[in-house]
Amino acid sequence: MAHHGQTIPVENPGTLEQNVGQLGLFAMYAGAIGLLIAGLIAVTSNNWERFQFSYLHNLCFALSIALGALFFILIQHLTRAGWSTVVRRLAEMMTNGIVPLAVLFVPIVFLLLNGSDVLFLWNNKEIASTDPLLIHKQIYLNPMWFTIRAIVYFAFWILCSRYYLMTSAKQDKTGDPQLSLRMERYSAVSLILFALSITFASVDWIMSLDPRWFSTIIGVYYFANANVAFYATLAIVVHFANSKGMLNETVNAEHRHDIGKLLFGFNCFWAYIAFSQYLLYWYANIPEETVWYMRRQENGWEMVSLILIVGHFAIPFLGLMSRTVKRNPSQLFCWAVYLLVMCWIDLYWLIIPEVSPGSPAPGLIDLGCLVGIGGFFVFGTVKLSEQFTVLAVKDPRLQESLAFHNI
Amino acid sequence: MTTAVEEHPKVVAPAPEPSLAGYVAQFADVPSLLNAAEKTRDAGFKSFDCYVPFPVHGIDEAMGIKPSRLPFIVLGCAFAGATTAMALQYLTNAFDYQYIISGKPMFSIPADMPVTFELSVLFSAFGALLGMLALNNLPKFYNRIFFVDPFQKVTTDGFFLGIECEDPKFHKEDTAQFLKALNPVRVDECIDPNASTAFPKFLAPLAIFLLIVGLIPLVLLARIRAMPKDVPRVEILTDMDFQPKLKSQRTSNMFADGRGMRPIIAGTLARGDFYEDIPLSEGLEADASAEIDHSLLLPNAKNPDGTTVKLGDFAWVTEIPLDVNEELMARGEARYNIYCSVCHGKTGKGDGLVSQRAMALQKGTPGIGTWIKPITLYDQPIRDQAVGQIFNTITHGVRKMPGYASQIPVEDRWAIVLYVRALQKAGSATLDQLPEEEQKRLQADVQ
Repeated sequence: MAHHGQTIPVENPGTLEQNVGQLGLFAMYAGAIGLLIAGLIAVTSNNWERFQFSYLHNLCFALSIALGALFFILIQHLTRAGWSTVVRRLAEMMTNGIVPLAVLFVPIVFLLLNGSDVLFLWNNKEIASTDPLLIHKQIYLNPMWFTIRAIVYFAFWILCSRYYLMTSAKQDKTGDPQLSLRMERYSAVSLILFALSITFASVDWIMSLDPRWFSTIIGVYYFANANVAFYATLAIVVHFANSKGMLNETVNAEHRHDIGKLLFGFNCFWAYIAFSQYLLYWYANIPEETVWYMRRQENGWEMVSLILIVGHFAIPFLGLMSRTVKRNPSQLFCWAVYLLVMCWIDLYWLIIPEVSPGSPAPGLIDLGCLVGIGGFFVFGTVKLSEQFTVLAVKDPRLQESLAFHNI
Repeated sequence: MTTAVEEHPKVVAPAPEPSLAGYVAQFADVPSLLNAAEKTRDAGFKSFDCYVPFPVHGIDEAMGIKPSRLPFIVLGCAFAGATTAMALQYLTNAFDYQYIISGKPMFSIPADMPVTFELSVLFSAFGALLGMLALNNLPKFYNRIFFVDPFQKVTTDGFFLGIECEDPKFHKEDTAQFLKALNPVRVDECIDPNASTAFPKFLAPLAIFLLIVGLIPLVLLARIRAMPKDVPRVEILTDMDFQPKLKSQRTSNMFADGRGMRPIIAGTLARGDFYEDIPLSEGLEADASAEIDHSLLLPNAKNPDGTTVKLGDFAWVTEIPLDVNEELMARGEARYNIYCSVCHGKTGKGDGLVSQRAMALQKGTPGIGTWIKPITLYDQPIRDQAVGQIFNTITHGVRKMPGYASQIPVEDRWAIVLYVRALQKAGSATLDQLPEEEQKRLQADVQ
């Protein structure tokens, strides 16, 4: 209360390397072992198809966290947000995870260019040139153009996120407020490119798994999911940081409250988008559209659909609504973990029915791929962020963020 | 007010007597106000408030204000909205006025969600606004603290704390001393003039009087418009009353015959309506068409002698005058399913959805409806009809069935005739007409 008009002293919390130690190395081993186990099971059980889908599923999941982080950074700059400065560096570090994911995406492109139609049915020349629903899509859905697009998406995401991280890190040394203004200027155009790239990427990597199906809202759906995944991850990271004695002085209940509000809000947004998509298909009842939902309404997949309605929306809607829950560190942490699991199930529900319409049961391949991709994601994130301070110590809005107070 | 009192001398308001309503202390800045609020809270005062020109973080904590109950009011309203919406849709769609829409169930949750969502939001918004007003004791026309002179600075740079006399701990001398000890800029007494706040009695009749006076011009206008008069009326909106157009069935002095509606010039045809090929466009042999009066082809037509026209006697075309191929059959099937199947049913048995619903409505109340179930299309009399006569039925209608000439083009009508023939063949097929495999399968089923 007595801090009005006064400067709050900030201690430099040190670089990520000083704070997390060997986490990156540990994650790398976990990642290698996870992928190895998943691959071994796939080879022994002759279930290479499932491995590829599971690999893509977990890649999209990890990517959703990093893309959510990138969107968070852009929107904070665009709106000149003050409250978020204490956690923005954590988001900037999370976007580094796009780099290992780009590397992990190479095998998918490699298989595609070699004519594999396991993941993408449209790469089957015979079907693509005879199926009346696919003939005209070949202009867009062909391996070469797909590859070029993937390169463009990753190039933009990596360039954009590196730009924001490096500029912010430069400000750690110089404290130049002009850098904030420059980042703000680029944020508007970056957001437009971000919207286009995430939309087309989700069309390419998720929607085209069933090339006959189409949804105009799939990009927003993935975007909503990415935001929920990111805010959940941010809440988890903040909790771990605090429990390790990191950022204890800077991130307080007010910031947790806002992270919780955004998590809650974007979760409602996800439900709104998911329902919007369902309602239109349900109402129009056109066979080539409803077939996608039919696959998710039979053979046990209807249970997963119900889990999403109740577990992804209804329960957290009531659970995360209260102010007390959002301000309490351990309660927010529990809900964040829960929602992150739900985001994983949501992507599972989007992708896996295309390979396993008969049963929704997850197997060791899924677990292996989760640990594998997740491990490399964490490894890349930590490795590339090691030399940066965990707090934007000289950001001109840091004082505003430290003094931030919810009404 | 004075007039009312004078007219009724028995009603005398008690003379207003000013009294001490509390103390108001002014502080120099936010920290000293927050400090004073904390001290006042700790001293056990309840009826006190802080007045500041802008929102101050932490003031609710310093004053010991508990978190607002408003969120729970909003949540309750949201649930009430959702329940209302669901109940309304259930009562209207699934209970009171059952009507199939797009083949969905009567009570279908997905379709109900948008209304439920909107009503939840609407009720929440009302709950938030009205709840906020209620919790803040608003609307309030004035506050007695406004009578304290320095309080006017509260909208610019004054920070005030007021303790009210309703507080059980309030004491005329002690409270003043307490406030002075908090290091304020000044402390003022708040004197309530106790002026009567009753609603002035003359306002209600005045409002009624003004309302009546305000209505007079409108009433006069209405009278001018409605009363019979021997001079031209006052027209308020002339261009609305007299539009430069002719309505149907009206006369016009522009044409010699005085008709507003112009007859079609002899030989006029709409684009695409011209068929030289009489058998194709009418379903009749060309020379027969030239001889007969075409009004006899309409439904329920009578001969000049009063007997019912026997359509079967005309010289109908017996072969479809188009190339009969699979394409035409597919077209006919599609058109049939769009236009005919709603009444005739997909197999021609007369069990379409419209028919089913009409029969269901008539059930139990004989005589109330006039619906007649469509004839089964593969009954012998229809099978015996020439294709030309079936074509004529689609064109002009028969009995209760309306003609479809305006909706279905000629070629499509023939396509439907072809499909009806196919239905007839399928509906009256015998076992030995089926392919051998089907025959075996059916016999196996029977056994």
